[in-house]
This record gives sequence, structure tokens and C-alpha cells, in this order.
Amino acid sequence: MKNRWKEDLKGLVGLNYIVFKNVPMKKSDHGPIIDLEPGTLEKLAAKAIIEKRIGFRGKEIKFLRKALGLSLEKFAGKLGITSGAVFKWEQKPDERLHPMNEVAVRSFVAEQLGIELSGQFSQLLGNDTEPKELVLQAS
Amino acid sequence: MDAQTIRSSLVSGRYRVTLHARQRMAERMIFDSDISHCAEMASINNQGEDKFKVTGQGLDGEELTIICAWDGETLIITLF
Repeated sequence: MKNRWKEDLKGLVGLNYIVFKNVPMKKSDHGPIIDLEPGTLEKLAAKAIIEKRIGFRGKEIKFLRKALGLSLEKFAGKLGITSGAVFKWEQKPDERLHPMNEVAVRSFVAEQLGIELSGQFSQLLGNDTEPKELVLQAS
Repeated sequence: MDAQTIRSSLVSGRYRVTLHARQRMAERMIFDSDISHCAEMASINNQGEDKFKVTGQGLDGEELTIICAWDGETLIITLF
């Protein structure tokens, strides 16, 4: 039985609205250690962002790209755009993407994560407002 | 423990991260993909007492310094 961290942990993946509950933790001489495989929290958060239809701003793009382990060039290449375009999105962390770009990115990321989405444009577009909190169970 | 074992564990995702290090990672938008990418080509210096300083670049070429310890497994203590 693993120990769970009692406090909610906010912002562990660089997005302040993502809150993890019940993060497995173990003690060490170096302080508490997150007792999860590397990449676990990123994958949980990425899936939630897609499934909960969080709108994409520059910060979500950077997070999703890195959660997939892709460089700017590789991510852009998969979308058929330039790395400069992705770089510009990421330089504006709070600016919403154009709907066409958002739909293209959501479709691509969903496919990479094995999430099936409805093909309807309106269903692929994110919500207008950023959530105050998106609570995820880490275990 | 030797530097090659630390490199191999970071590249292959066989490591753990302290809560402190994870918070530092989040501040800089550094993720596990950056750690493994960095470790592939990083310079790794043994600092003694099973501590290692790993210096390299993240996925986007950002400079990363990762401080690791061997504690029965590779442990990332902090990162900057």
C-alpha cells in the first residue's frame, strides 16, 4: 500500500488550474519523492485537457507538445506547419489559438493519446473559459 | 554508482523525482521528455557521496542542470 500525499498539489505540470489529489509519495533523506513512473502526471493531465475540452492557449500547446515528447520541429511537422508558428503560439501563453488550429491540434493529440473524439467541429473546439480547477486523481 | 548508470536510468525513464524537483520543473515547464533528452548527451559529473550533476539541454535546447542522487534508484533532487 503506497502512502498518498494528503494535500492537493497544484501546478505540478506547469498549468496552475491542474490539481492532483492522492499523489503517491514516499519519504527519503532528500524529502518527499513522487512515487510514480516518469511521465504519469503529464499523461493524466494531457488526457484530461483533451477530454474536458479545455481551450488551447500557448501554455497548453507547450505542455501538450512536451507531454508527447516532441520538439518544436517534430510537433510542427506532424501538423504540417512551421516550427516558427508553434513557437509563436507558445510565446503567448494566455492567448487562445485560432479555432482551426485548435481543432487540428486537439485531433492530433487525441490520436497520439488513443482518445476517440467526435468528428464534429464544435465538439473538437475547446470551452471558452479556462477552468478554475481541474482536479485529477493521481492514483 | 557511476555516471553511465545515471545516464542510462534518466534516458530510459527509470528514476524518481522529489516533490521539490517536480515543483522546480513545473516553474520552468520542464517535463520528463526534457530529462531523457537532456541525459542522452549530457555531461555528468560525480560530485561524491553518490551525487551527480547532469548538465545538458532540454527538448527545445534550453540549458538544464539536474542534480541526482543514487538512493537504491536514480533520484532527481533538484533542477535548474
